[in-house]
Amino acid sequence: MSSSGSTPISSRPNTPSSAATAGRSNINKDGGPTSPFDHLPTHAIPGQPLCSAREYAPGPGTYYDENAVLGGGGGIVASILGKVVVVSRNPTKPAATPTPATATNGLKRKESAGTDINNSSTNTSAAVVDPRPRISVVRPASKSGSSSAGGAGAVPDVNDIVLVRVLRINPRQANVAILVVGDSHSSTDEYGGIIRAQDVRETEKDKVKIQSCFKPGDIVRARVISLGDGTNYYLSTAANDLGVVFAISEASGAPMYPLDWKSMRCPVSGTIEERKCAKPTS
Amino acid sequence: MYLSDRRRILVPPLARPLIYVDDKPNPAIQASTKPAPSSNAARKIYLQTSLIPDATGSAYVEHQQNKILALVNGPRSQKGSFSPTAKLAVDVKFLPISSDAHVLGIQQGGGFTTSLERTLADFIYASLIPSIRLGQYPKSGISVSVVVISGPPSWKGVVKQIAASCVTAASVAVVDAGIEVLDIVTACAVKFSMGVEDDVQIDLDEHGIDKSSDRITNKMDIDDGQPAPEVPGIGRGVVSYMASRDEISGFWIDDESHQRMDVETSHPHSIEGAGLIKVLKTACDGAKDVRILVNGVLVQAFAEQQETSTQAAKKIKLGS
Repeated sequence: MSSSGSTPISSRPNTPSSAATAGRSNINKDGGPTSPFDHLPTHAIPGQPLCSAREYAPGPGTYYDENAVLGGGGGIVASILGKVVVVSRNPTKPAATPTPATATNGLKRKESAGTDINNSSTNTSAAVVDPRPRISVVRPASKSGSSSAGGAGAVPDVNDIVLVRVLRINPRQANVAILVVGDSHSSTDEYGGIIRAQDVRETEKDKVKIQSCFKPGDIVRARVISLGDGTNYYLSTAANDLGVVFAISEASGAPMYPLDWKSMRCPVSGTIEERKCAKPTS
Repeated sequence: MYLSDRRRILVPPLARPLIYVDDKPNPAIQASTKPAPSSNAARKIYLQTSLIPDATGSAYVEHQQNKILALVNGPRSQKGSFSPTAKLAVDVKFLPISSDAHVLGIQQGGGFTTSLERTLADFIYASLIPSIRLGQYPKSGISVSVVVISGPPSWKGVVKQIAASCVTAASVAVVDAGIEVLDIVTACAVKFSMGVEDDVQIDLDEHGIDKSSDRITNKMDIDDGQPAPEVPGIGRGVVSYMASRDEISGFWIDDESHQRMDVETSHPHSIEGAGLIKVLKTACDGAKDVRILVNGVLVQAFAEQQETSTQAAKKIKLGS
């Protein structure tokens, strides 16, 4: 294995084939002209430098490479094949235009970051105060049914919201199978998870009875709190919008609807069963 | 010794491909595979992605007689101890019909996975590992299986070529699966003369069919296995290269001169210093050419995917 330092090959190839990359190859030849990023490529190939890290922050499907010199100071490089998407951190600004970081912008973003922390369902990366708009590469939706940024990754990560099916319960925990990760529509029935009794709700944790919160077969919306051990992720439903979203009545086999946060009613038999319900969204 | 593997239908250990009378070298075919004008111009490669819908990603590479299919499955959950990064598993299979190498391997090593298959798998693993962002997929496994559907009729000195095609196919399949990578790895095989101090002759390795008469030190036809005695050794190598990052992710170089055993050991063939650098550079240039093709194919595949996704969106609109 030899790195670029010890090999005699010096020039990056002018391989990628879009209008913006033609500009990039000029950059490499000339050794650093000034502002070539008035337009970004529409799509990207893995390994293709996209923009300078001064102007954008790397999002899903990209990575920061200090050696990809684009106008100095490292660049952001695509890591999957897909469409280039720019998300401005300031929601009032149009997404495609990179904005220079000013004092007022920074203040506004601090506020929005604060709400992000309070809003439990937001990704952790959004809570970081970063004035740069975030650039990411998104796969086309048709490919393997997944429209999530970041490629094949139906891999659960900490703070992801997941849909799980309860497999079995015992007094200390509920064992679940993770079906859907985040917004991706690709289902993976392979990742196991555990909702421990102390993670079911935020209050009166010591009085939680797993049996009166979940039943095997329920579909539960939960958040990943830890990658766990070799076999299981640790999940939590300690939030209003987390908990059982779908459950079948033991009496009639009909799907039940939630009455309040801890009970569901069967529309056929009228029986009320105990569940830790998720607050219905939208 | 085959009892452990009950899932596959195995060929008898001494099976050989059928040889028909008509299979004698056809002069018409030979004429069609005449070498390119420049010996350093890469031959045509056919590349296609996403041909196996069941796999997460797949790629098919056809380079001369080499037909190679790479499949990627994953990232999948992995049982066992906690691992903060994904684990990559590579395996290589020669189809029994691919060539005589499979039989060769069975006779030599025994067992279903031949030593050649294992060696190739190790090289592909080493070439891909620096390119894949394994940290993005904790507790997961990514499995790459490479199937050599067909190879050249004779396997003398083509292992490096097969390895090059395998690496390229595997890396493109990983990209097709949507797994995050630092860069695409493309590989190129070279052959060169060894033991020459000042004048190393290098060619992109094309199954030994280059017979450029203008070369002095490297004139012989490699395929007949009977090189002229005055010729120095023939080396073959394959270099895996990440073109955008300008990094070599793996190389594998062997002295493949047949007369090596006969030469007194005081002058072993070697390649080092400037000669080795020249070899690497030539191979990297070849890999860059392959990369251009890969980029073109990926852009085309992306455009098609986008088209189908917009069509699907339209259908949903019409339906609702």
